[in-house]
Amino acid sequence: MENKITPDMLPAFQGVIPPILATVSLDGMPNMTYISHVHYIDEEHLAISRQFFNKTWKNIEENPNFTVAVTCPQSFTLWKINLSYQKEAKEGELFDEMDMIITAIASGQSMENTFKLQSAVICKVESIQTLILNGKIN
Amino acid sequence: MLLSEKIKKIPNLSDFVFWAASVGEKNICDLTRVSGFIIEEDNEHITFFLPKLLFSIIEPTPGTDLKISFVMASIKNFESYQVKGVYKSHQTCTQENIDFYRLKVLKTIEILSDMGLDGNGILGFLLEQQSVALTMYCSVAYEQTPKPGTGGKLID
Repeated sequence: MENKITPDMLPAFQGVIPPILATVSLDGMPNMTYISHVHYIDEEHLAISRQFFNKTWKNIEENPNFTVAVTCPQSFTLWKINLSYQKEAKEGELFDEMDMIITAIASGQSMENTFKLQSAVICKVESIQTLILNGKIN
Repeated sequence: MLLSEKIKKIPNLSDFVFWAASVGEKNICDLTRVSGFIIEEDNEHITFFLPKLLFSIIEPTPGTDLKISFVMASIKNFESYQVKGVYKSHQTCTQENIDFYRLKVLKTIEILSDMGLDGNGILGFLLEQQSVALTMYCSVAYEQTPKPGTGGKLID
């Protein structure tokens, strides 16, 4: 199992196919939610966009290890990336960059008043599993 | 819990895609796309379909109450719902199950293609394998359509 983001994965972070985030509550119940954007920071770190996130955020506070599934729109490879929460950014260069991307995504979907970035949730990549490789079950 | 009217309409809609998740080793969530679902007659259980090769993601350890979440989301307008509950049973898909989800996935692929995406590339793997029908009891449902205040329990 890999634990670094590789160049072939980068198109999966361009926002073409929405990523889905899966967390676990203290009592062991999974929770899934679509998120607007997973942002590549470097090969060992990603940031996820926090917008609504009520149940998800509670779960992350209880259990900082979670999974995001991203799909490459070119190869149709689907990766499950296990992440651990590091910190939250509510301002600064990363926040501004993600805010601009979220605004562009929202504008494309006519949801400018709905998609509002609250924070950039910075995470460490713990492991990566390829679930679907080039459109086939791996 | 009885499933709400909002959820009852979804199994026959073609613009929805589906994910199922359970909790694996080290208390980390594991998840996969699935092909579709039906609501059982008692209105408290759903049965969803997934390729046999992906079943291990949801497969319970004997003697445990496996907790499962199931998400349904529109690819057109972000309308989305989540049902949570526990595993009840599973079996190999019947021909009736296969005919149902195959037609639905093919229509979803067509809609994705109309949106400029390669629908077959994204969802085609759901059609190529032997498949499993998994039944879960639904204990709670949430609306998750992105909007302020979303995430509340879905009750008729």
